[in-house]
Amino acid sequence: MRLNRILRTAFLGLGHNPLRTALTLLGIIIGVAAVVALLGVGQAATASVTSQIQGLGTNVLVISPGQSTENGFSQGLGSSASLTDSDVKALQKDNALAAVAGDVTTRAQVVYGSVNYQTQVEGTTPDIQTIRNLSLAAGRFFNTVEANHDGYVAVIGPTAAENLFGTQSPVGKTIWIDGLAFEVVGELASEGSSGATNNDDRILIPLQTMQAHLLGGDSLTTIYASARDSQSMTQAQLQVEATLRQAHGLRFGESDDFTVTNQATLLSALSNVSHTLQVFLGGIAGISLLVGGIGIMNIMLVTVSERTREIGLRKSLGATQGSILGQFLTESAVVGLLGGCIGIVVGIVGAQGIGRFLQTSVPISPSSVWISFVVAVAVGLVFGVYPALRAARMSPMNALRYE
Amino acid sequence: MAVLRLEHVSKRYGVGDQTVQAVRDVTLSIDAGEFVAIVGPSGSGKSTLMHLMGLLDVPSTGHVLVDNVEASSLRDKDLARLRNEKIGFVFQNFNLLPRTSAVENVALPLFYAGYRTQPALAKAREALARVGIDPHLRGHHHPNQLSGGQQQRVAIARAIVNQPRVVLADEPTGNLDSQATDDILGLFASLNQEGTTIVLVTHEDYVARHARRIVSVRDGLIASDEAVVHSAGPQAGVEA
Ligand SMILES: Nc1ncnc2c1ncn2[C@@H]1O[C@H](COP(=O)(O)OP(=O)(O)OP(=O)(O)O)[C@@H](O)[C@H]1O
Ligand SMILES: [Mg+2]
Repeated sequence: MRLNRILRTAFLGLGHNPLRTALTLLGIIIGVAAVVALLGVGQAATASVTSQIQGLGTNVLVISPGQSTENGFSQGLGSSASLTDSDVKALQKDNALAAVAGDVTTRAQVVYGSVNYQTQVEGTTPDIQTIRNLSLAAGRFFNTVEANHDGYVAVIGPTAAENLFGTQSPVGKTIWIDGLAFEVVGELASEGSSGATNNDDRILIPLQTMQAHLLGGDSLTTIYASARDSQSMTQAQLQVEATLRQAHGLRFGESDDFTVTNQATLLSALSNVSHTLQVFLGGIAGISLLVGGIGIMNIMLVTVSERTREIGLRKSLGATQGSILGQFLTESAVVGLLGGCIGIVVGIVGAQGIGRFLQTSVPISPSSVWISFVVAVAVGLVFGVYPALRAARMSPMNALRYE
Repeated sequence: MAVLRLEHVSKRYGVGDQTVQAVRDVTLSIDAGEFVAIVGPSGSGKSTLMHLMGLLDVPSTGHVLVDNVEASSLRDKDLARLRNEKIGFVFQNFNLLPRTSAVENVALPLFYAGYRTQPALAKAREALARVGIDPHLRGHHHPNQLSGGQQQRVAIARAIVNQPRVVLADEPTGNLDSQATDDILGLFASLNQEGTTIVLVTHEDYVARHARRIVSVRDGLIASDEAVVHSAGPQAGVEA
């Protein structure tokens, strides 16, 4: 039998019971759409976290209080205030480090005129600008003099600026943070928001001012340090650890009461997590494809037994086992193919919907589209084989007499 | 020359722990151009015999030869080819594909023979015309839009479209009224006149009398095998 005939016969068979065909298709569509959308969402999540980590800058070491696991993720974040200004001073003597900046972060009420806004307020030093590679959209960063002499000056992130000032320029305006007046001297350029955290929604003020007038004490949330270059990262990290252990008076055998992480360790930890995430999402999607495949098999078995007399008739007219096999395999492959195509479209649309909801772009990788398409057709073929073989192997006489 | 030969053919069916002997050691030969009726009471083994002749079933013992080719040694592919090229089937319940036009139904054996669509449909139209169905008027009708007699004509067109060596018909008039029965029997007679070999299974003497040889079967055995002497046309057939 020629190919066009085989296809025609398959479509005729599928048109036989349109509702049933549609329901079978639905199983495959859901499976394929799940593969495309979930893999896309997984990739989007990974990309979002990756861009945050890359936002750290390549040579940056992040030192936080508390112990760590090997992965570089802190277990119990500093119950004791283990990082202080004196640690910063000790680290500034390390010549493996280009710059060191202490940092305290808190949330505070910020007032401008009648606008009252809660945001993240970060006390830091001008060195942070080079370490974190911050660029300014307007104005300037506060200078060393202001930083060291109780300067009431602030640099504002674009999101915080928009919320406080609307379309006005923030530079030169006075804002009130916890009842203290600060002059805004600069506005940060947007780093772009990635996922849940927004680096643009913050206000930077001098560390010393913050400790002396807002919080009290000399403990730090984070110390940022930058190595001289990316080659000396490992050496710089060892140096930092040695210096801090000495500064904290830790004896041999005592574990660190701080954690040093850098972009490379974070990225490798992330790639583990994101791999697990992808496998997990892929697994869920794969299971739904499997269920769709079983649906095809079920329907094809019903179809074959319903059409037993037709099979007998076709054999009496000269159909070989091969052409009967081909007829039913084509039917289930067409379901897989059609379901695959519709599923890909539904998956892409769904992924965009999820992306809009999460306010990130969900990438659709061509490979996930191809793979799920091929898998859908393969599922149709594989799960169609058994029913089709049963049809093909029937004795023509028994098939004709079947009721 | 024999178109069909059965040599010591037996067929047993196992039902539960019982076995039914549907055909017992039958030897029978049908020559080209013959018009044979196989008659016998219900359950005597007529249909089984026809299925064996048409290679739709395999004998328990014995040999079936179609056009001098021994079938038991053949593979599925060659069996399918023999059914396609040498044998045409007509069934009691017509067995047309539903939701498929008359022309396409008739063209089916040609498609299995590897014909392209247009030549197959052209040949199918010719066959329809031959059995008295106007291909332009009724060719695109689906089976459920045709009368029983018309459906059986379409089925006969399908049986002859590939110019087979023999047409095997199992109770072809079983579902038809007397007028349609006469039409169909007349069609068989005229096809036979043109040289088509016909084997017709029936339990009605009236139908059998249209044939030129009557093989009667009882309990799976051939009880008699006689030529029909037509004195004045088929209706007046008398057993010799
Ligand atoms: N598939 C089968 N399994 C078991 N027994 C069968 C099978 N096919 C036929 N038989 C038995 O074989 C015998 C002959 O059956 P067959 O159909 O050939 O009779 P028949 O002469 O065509 O009868 P009818 O005129 O009623 O059609 C019957 O006893 C029947 O019960
Ligand atoms: Mg019968």
